[in-house]
Amino acid sequence: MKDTKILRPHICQVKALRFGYDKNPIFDNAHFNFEAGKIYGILGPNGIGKSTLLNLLFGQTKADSGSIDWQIKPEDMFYVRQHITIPYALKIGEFIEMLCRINQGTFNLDEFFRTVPQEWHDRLERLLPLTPDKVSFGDGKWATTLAALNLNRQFIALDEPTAAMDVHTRQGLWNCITERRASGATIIVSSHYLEEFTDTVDGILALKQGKLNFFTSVEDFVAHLGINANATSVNEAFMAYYDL
Amino acid sequence: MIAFIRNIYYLSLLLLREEMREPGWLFWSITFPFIIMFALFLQTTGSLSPVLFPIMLSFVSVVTAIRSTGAYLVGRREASFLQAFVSFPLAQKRYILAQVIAGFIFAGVIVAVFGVVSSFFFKEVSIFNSINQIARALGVVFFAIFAGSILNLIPLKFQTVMGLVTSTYAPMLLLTFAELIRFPDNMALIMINTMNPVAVGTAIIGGTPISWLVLTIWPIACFGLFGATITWFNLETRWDK
Repeated sequence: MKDTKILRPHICQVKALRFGYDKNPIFDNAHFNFEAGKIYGILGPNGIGKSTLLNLLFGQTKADSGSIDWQIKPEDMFYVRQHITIPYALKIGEFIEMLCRINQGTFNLDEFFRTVPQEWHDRLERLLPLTPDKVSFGDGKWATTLAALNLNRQFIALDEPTAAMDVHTRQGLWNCITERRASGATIIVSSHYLEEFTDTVDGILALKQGKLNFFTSVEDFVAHLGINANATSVNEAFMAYYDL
Repeated sequence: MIAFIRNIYYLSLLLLREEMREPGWLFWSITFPFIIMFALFLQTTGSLSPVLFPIMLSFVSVVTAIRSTGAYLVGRREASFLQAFVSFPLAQKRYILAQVIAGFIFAGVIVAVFGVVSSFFFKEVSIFNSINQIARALGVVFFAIFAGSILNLIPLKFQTVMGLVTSTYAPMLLLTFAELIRFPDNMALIMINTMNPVAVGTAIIGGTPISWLVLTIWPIACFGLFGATITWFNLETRWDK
């Protein structure tokens, strides 16, 4: 993966963020600082506001109050949304090229392949000449995520990148994400799978009751408030934390 | 600079390839004008009036130009493509520039092919005159593409925007027919048609006299609309409510 540019300790500061639909707050007086060169996992059940948080961070949804102060320019960040639409008349390879040419101003297929793990080359080569109707949603998202990770960005947000992917692909994608961190990028990843955050992330943001609660690791999350007392797995801890 | 131009060139080729694979332009750019010409041809004995040639060329130029750029800017906005993949100002400029180039080539080819094929209906129009009028039609395509980009700023969903726009196509053609074929001295029609892109395009293509005021205002308006699109480029996805 490519090296990123200048790094600053705080890449983004979220202060007193408030956002809600009608009178129901999704976020209320939420605070957080995103540090450079770290991976953050966003955790929460369906509908709690994971995608909304990313939309707020990227200015695609307007906050009711509070501030989000970026220390980097918009061209230094990229956000892969949960639902992506690949134009149906484009082949996957053409779409990846278009994405790179629009966002990076250049594209080289050989260079792109060098950023992709060797074990995925055959799979990628098989996908490139196909149109979106001939590939699964998971494959389309996988290819898009690989293209996004190939972009030279300081901050990358991935909204449920591993949804609809098999275990092997998930694992490989996480390797790419951690490799990207090694080159200095800050990455924020939302997921329903708490176990994915084990040994991968530098912190977990658990969305609960309008707040962004920070945990240093999955162990820290499980140990929080003694919820591990009855939890035998991380999934049980997740359900206990959210009273599910 | 060379890297920028090369990137725009390859991006334009990608967008052009995509446009060629989508048959949505066929009806308004080919089928409808040929139906009109064929219907008129059945009324005549051997050849259509040469007055109709620039009208049909102008119509195809305007509707194809709108389709090849403006409609894409709205369609991609609705599909969340702009919000997801064209989010920062430099990316927007790269994308718009490439889309305009691709749109111009695409619409230009369609207009040229239409002009050549339809010239068989017009035996009184010489080959030289046909080529001359087709070349002028490319100028109309150029300006219509810039003006059509403004569709991106209309805060309505794709179906509504295109429904509204396409509902003006037939009236624009009819108003041009009305003035040039039936009521050439009707002041009300002449006034209305100064705002009718198909009528203004017909005058440019046909080389008929046109006031300097109209000739000045239209290019300024076209570039002004394009400038507004670049300045306030709208990424926001609109959905049915």
